[in-house]
Amino acid sequence: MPVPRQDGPEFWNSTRIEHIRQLARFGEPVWVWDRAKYSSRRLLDRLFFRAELEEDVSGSLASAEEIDTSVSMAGGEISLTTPIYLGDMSFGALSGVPNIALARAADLTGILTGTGEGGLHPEVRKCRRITVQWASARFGVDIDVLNTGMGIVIKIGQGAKPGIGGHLPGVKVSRLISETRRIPVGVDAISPAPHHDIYSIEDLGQRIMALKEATGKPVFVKVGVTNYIGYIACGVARMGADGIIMDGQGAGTGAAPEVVRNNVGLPVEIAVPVVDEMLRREGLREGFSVVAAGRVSSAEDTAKLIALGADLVSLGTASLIAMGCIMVHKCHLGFCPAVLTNKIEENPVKLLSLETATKWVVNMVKGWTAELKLILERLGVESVRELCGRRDLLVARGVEPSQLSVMGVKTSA
Amino acid sequence: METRREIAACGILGVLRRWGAEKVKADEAVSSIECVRFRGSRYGAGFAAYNLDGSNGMHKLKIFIDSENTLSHVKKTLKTRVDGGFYELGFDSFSTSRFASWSAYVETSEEALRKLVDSINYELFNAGMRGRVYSWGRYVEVFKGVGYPVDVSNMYGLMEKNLEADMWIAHTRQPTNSPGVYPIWSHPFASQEWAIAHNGDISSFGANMEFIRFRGYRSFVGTDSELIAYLLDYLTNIQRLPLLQAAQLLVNGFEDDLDRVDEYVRWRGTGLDGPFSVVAGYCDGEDVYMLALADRSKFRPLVVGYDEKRIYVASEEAEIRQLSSDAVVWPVKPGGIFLASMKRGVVLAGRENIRHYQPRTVKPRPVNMAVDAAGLDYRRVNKMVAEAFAKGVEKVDVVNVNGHRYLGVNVPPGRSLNIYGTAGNCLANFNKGGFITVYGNAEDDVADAMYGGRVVIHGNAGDVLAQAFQAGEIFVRGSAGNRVAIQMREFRENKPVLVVGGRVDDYLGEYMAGGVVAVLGVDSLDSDECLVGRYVATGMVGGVIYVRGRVDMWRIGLQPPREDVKRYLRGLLLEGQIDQPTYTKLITLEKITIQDLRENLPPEPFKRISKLYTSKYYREHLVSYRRLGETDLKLLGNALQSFCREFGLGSDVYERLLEEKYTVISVDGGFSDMSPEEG
Amino acid sequence: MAGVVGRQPAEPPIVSMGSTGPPYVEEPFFIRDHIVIDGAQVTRPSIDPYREPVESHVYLCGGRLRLSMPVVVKLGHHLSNSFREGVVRACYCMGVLVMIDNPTGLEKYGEGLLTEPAYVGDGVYAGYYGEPSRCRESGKPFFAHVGASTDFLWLGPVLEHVSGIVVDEDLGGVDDVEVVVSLLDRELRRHGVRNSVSLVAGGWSVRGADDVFKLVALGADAVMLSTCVEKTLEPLLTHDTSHVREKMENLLLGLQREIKLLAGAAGVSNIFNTIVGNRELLRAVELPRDIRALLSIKLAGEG
Repeated sequence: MPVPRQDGPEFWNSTRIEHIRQLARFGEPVWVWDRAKYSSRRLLDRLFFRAELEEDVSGSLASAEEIDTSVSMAGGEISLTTPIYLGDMSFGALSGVPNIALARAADLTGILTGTGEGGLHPEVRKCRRITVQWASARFGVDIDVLNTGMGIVIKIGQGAKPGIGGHLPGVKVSRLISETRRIPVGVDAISPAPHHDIYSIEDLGQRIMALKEATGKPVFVKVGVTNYIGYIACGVARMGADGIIMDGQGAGTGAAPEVVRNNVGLPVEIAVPVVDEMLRREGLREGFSVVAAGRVSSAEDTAKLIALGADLVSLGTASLIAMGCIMVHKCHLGFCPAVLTNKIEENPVKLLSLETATKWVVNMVKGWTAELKLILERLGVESVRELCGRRDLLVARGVEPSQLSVMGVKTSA
Repeated sequence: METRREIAACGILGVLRRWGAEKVKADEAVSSIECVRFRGSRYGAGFAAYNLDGSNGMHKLKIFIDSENTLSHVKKTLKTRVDGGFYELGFDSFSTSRFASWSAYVETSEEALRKLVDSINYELFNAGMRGRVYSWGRYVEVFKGVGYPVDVSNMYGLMEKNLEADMWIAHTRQPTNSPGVYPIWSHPFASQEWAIAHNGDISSFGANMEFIRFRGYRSFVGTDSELIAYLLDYLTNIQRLPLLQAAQLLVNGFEDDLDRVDEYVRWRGTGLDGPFSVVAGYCDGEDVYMLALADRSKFRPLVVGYDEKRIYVASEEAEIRQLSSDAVVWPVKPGGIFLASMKRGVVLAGRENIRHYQPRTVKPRPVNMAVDAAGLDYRRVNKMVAEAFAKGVEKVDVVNVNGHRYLGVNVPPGRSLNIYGTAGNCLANFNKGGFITVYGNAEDDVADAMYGGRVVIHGNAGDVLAQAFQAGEIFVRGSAGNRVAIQMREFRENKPVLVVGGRVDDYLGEYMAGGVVAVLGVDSLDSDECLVGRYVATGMVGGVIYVRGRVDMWRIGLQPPREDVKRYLRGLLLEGQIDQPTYTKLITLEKITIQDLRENLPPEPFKRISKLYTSKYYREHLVSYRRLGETDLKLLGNALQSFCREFGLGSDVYERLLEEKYTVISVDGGFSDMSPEEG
Repeated sequence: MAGVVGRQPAEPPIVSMGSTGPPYVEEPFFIRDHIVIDGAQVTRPSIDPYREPVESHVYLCGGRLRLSMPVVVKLGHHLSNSFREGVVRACYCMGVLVMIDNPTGLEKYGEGLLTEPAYVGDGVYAGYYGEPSRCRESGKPFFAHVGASTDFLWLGPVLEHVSGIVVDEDLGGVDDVEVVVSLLDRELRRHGVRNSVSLVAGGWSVRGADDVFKLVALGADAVMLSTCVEKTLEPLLTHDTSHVREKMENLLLGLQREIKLLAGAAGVSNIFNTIVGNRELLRAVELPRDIRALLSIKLAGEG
């Protein structure tokens, strides 16, 4: 499907979409340095690897093939071949086939996928490399489901709408969804804004421990990036979680009030270095995973966020684009032109082939990883783990200086 | 230097002796706060001790300092600015951090001392946190430091010296970031004779700061508790407001409950918003007071109680039980104020009727294979229980339980776990088929995401009982707290049933989507008191709630502010849409519900004004007040019968319950009678 | 803007996928486009305004006036009578004050109007506004009506006589409204009159609930809407009064709901006490140090 002409300003512009589509189609690297960043306002787009500016390719220690992109989470309990987590999107927000495709792609590429709030599709349940989400409405989770995945994600908030609960519009609550979520047909499924058992850090600790006590699984906490993100991350770490998924402003959503989406929360690139630094200072960084999410659009974004201090990144929107999303911002209406987020019927017209969708996601992950290796090669860094926290490799252009000093990044000089 | 926020997790405690009873020993305060050790950390704890007879008329100034230099600077300041002189007491603790505690008696007026403390703290803070005055009362002395409560007590030798007090305030703390390793950030925070321990993170922090920073307080360490101490000090000591009024301002009640708008506006900026539970001590030289405040949404736990000798405030019931097995204990209601004094006893109970929290219950002896929880932490207890079940034991008894968490998360289907004592938070979470009985009370978060089996509690349950409860039975003999049965759901033949024998607080059945809830008030069958709080069934989409007796319509669902409705009615009157008598009739009602409007307004004006009450996400409640009919008995009859049998209530009680009238709440088109919908 | 367009009147618009708002996608125009709002997570809970109470009302002038939300509407004299009446009726019912230069014909709704001192004695009005020096003793609240300027020399002499200040961008002024609001809020606090002298600010640049929220958190008790009401209701300029009234009511209700959503997301249940001047709820994304100092807000990423 062609990308429609975009009238208004858009982060996911046609350059970015075409790039991801090429990755999805061929599974090969398209470019080394992200060309879309020059037409974008985001702070992350105004950070550059010195290596790109200096064009010094001779310094590479290893060839791209030898670069180790693997990362591990939860003290080695989970290892990933590449620092990519496929974002938490629920069965209901997505229309079933994409959910399965993401889970299978994670299995095939040796990464991890989140499943969102809303229960597991029977086919997703068969996959191994998934996490199960414990969210404020508890949709579709019982003790057996909790024991299914490789880990549990407590979803406190998301970047598109910190402080607002999950929202599946009534038009998408079909018979099938009504039964998995146990709510009436046609009624908006709005998860409570807070977890009503988590009103504080010690309450979160209590929930983490309860889940660990019951399942023994690693527990991750997903939050939107907000004012006290440093304290929140330290709190999450102290409370015994195995990692934090930080979802920044601008991240995707299946449905959110516009006023909240556009005004609440901070960009993830500001949060990552602050959190990394604070965790290190508190002695909490070791063995604790920091996952950066929100507008991660390329391997270069991935590398920069890791250099800023993340361990891995979460791809939500990008993986939808790999499966054909053309960014019409109409997920909440239930008639997605790319049949990714449309209403789930009992006998759906199968416009999206599961095999194709899976292949596209697998290819995207492969191509993405290949580009990442090329970047690491240019940086002269041998592994993704070594890249973590290397803020010294970055310089900024046109970024407000005090903002940079909060992030611990130098201006171009 | 800019003030940074400082956010922590906490457990709080207050113990006050009654006039005539012996003083409270340091050991007791320590053992009580230590039993919620898991709420805090090794990063900070503290105590405040009040003694009415302990004052020599001078203020005891206590300060954390980082060096001799700082100390000599402070001494110099004291020398020049204290008219009555000061008497050095020296260092009073061994220290594990950069700071040591030094103290002196200071002879000066309260006003002069407040200014002096502010200026010392302001200077030391701006010099890069070189130290801080943290206690300067005549009747109160704070002991705080880095460590668990027992460590801090040892630092000051509280137990060795066998220290006693009329009242102890205690705190254990879990900070999120590094300043926590300094004792300055430990609680309690004091200002003159106030000492405060607090649990929560107030969203009004910035607004409260804007209020206080131009009123003589310039130096802040960034914690909510210090701010609360200053607010109370300012309102009671400088503005001379009565203690109760100050407490009311802080609790920040809803507009409909306001007495005087002008006073409220005058003190705007003193109200606390967001989650808090506060325990505050105060002494006016005549009496010792213990004040406890709960936020109006009841986001933090707060239980209070008394026995013959003492009065208690705590985060968890277990802290009180640690000191008194027979204390009468109840939760403070949302937005409640608890006030007690040494000489007058309990002045304000923090809720209207506490007898609902004293159910008549039995305490049988354990008979099965028993695990003794005394002195064990919850991990060990849960492990022993799991091992017993793994060995194939059918029924396990756990005795001497006091606040142990996560019990009953691992009971295999069909097996039984019997708990003797006070079950801690998160009892029977994710339970799928186990039978769990508690002989005693249960704390918060019972049966979250329970998918089957049975939970029977022979006492009370705390807040957030049966959240997302989806199959099985829960019986509570006594009462339960806030947000009971929220998000309950059902699926085909799985209809969860919750029966509460006493009463419940606000938000019963919020966003309920299925199942059956009954609130019976079995110990108050002859009273017509309403058995539920406010905001019953807000956002309900399915299921059914039975409350014995009449529930006022305004308690059901979310109501727009009365002032907004009155204004709209006046607009309708001015436009000529309604007549004067209708207008007068409606605005003189104490509460104006949508039903009142429907009954009194013509269709067009009703349609207009009803948008204040409804939204896209609103579903009209179906409410009736009636005896149980055949359909009701089908849903509830068996449950009532087993409830009565389970708790040894005679057939007379059962018969009586069948004859009573109930307020039955459901919504139009709930899940249970939903017809298939297409498109 | 909430409440006008779409199938669900008065409902905050629901959208999907990532934000396209400023500063990182759309071009930022105003200082507040660089300001983001806190969301409550983990350390404290957020509040769902559809299921739990969030109080959006504010009081002005020591409690003598009450608004159901921190919003005041200003109507210009170029608008038709029927349009003005429609808006006034809607605002009256919804508990929002209207600033109107000529109230003739609308005296009936006087309790919902702020007007010019020339009309003292012509009816019962909620209060009056005008140049600071035109303050007249009428027994009713008087608002000093000034442009967006950080020159507060006029303030001292009239402070005892005014019960409020309206900073109106439409009157001109060279300073950013955010800066004026923040400095004036602090100035009133320094004089110890913050809870008796109300601060209303706004004008042509206010676009919606997000702007209202941010200006209130910077120190305004209420925010004045002018151009945005006209623009939003423009297609209805020729319609009859009741039509305008209905749409205006929806607009206000929608705004109120959006304000409550933002407050709830920040874990705030009471706007008057908790949000006014609560800069701690805001963070600046890439705002220079000098502007941040004027606003007293912290940078994104600062604790």
